[in-house]
Amino acid sequence: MTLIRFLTCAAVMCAANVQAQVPTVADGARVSAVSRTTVFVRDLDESLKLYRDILGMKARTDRLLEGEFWNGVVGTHGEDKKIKVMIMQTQDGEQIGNVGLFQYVDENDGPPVYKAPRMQTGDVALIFLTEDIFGIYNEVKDAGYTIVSPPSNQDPNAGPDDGYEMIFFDRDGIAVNLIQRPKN
Amino acid sequence: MLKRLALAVLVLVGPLGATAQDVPDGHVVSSMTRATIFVRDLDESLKLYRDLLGLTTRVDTFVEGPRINEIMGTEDYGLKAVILQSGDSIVGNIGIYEITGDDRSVVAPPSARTDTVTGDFAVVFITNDIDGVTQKVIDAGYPLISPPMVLFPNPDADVQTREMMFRDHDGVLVNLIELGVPKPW
Repeated sequence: MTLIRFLTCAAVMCAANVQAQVPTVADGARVSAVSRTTVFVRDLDESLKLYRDILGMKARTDRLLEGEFWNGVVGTHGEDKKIKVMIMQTQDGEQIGNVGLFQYVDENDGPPVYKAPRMQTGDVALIFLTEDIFGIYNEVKDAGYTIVSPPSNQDPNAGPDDGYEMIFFDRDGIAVNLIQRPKN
Repeated sequence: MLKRLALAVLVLVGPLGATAQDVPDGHVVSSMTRATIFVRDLDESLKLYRDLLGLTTRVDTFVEGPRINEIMGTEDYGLKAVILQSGDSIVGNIGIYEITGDDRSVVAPPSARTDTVTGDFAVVFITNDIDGVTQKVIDAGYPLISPPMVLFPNPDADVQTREMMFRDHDGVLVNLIELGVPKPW
C-alpha cells in the first residue's frame, strides 16, 4: 500500500522540516513497531534533565495540548485539562522508538516516586544502546537517580571495550536500561 | 565471541551482527530499542500483543542465575522473557517479561481507570485497522479510554487521522493511531 501518509496528529507530530521516517505496519501485523512510549511525568523540566541533558535526546515536538478533542482522546471528557507535550528523539526524522514526556498542567502530584533499587512486577523499562555507559553512569549517579545495577559484565576481567549493561530509575520510576555492546 | 553471546542473554538485542541497531555517530544513545513491561501474567499479555495486535516473537527464553539477578537488583528470581516485533524491525520492539519467584502480594493491582493520570505509561503504535482492532479490544474486555476519534481535524484530508486508547491487563496504556489520507490533488 503506497498511499502517501500525512502527519497532522499530536501522536505522530513530526517536525515540518525533516524527512520523516514513518512507522509502517508489517505484513501480517496489525500494528507497527513502537512509535514511541509516553511517560505522564510529574515534572517535565526534571525529566528533561535526564532525557535531554544526559541522554542527549532532542525534542521534535514541544507544545501545549488542550481542548475538546485532546480531552476526548485521553478520557477526560467534559474537562478542560491541559498537558505539556514533548516528544524526544535521537535522530532527526526518526519516528520509531521515540520517548514522549507529557505533564498535566496545574496538577500537584507530590514528591518524586521512591523506588527500591530492584526490578519488580509492574515495572516498565526503556532500553537504549550506548557507547558511553560509564560516562552516563557517572552522571546519573551524581544526579542521584536510583541505581538498580551499575555497568556490569559477568567477566571480572572485562575491559572498557567489552559489553556492559546497567539499569536505573528515572524520576517517575521508569526503569532505564542501558546496553553497551562489545566494541570488537 | 563468548563475551558477546553471554551479554546477549541479558541484552536480548537479538540477531548479532549486521542487523543489529547502532548508536548514531555523535549521539549518546540510540533510539529506543525496546519498551519492556514486567507483566503479571505473560500468557495473558501475549493474548494482546501477539495474538490481537499481531506482533511476532523475536525472542522467547527463560533466564535465571546470578547474572540476571545482578542486573535486576534481585536475588533468586527467574525471568521469562518474550520480545515481540512488527515485521523485522529491530527498533521499537516490545518486551513482555514475567519475573518468577517474587512476592506478588506486595505488587499493586493494575490501573483500570478509563482516563489518564500522572504516572501513567503508554506505548504508541501505528495501525491500518483501528476500527477492527478496537472491536477486538472491546470484545476482550480491556478498559477503553477512548474509541477511535479525530484529534486534529484537517480540512485538507480525504480521510482523517484517528486514534484510540485502552489499557492492557497491567494498566499500561496502549495508544493506536491510524494515519489519514490527503485529498487527491
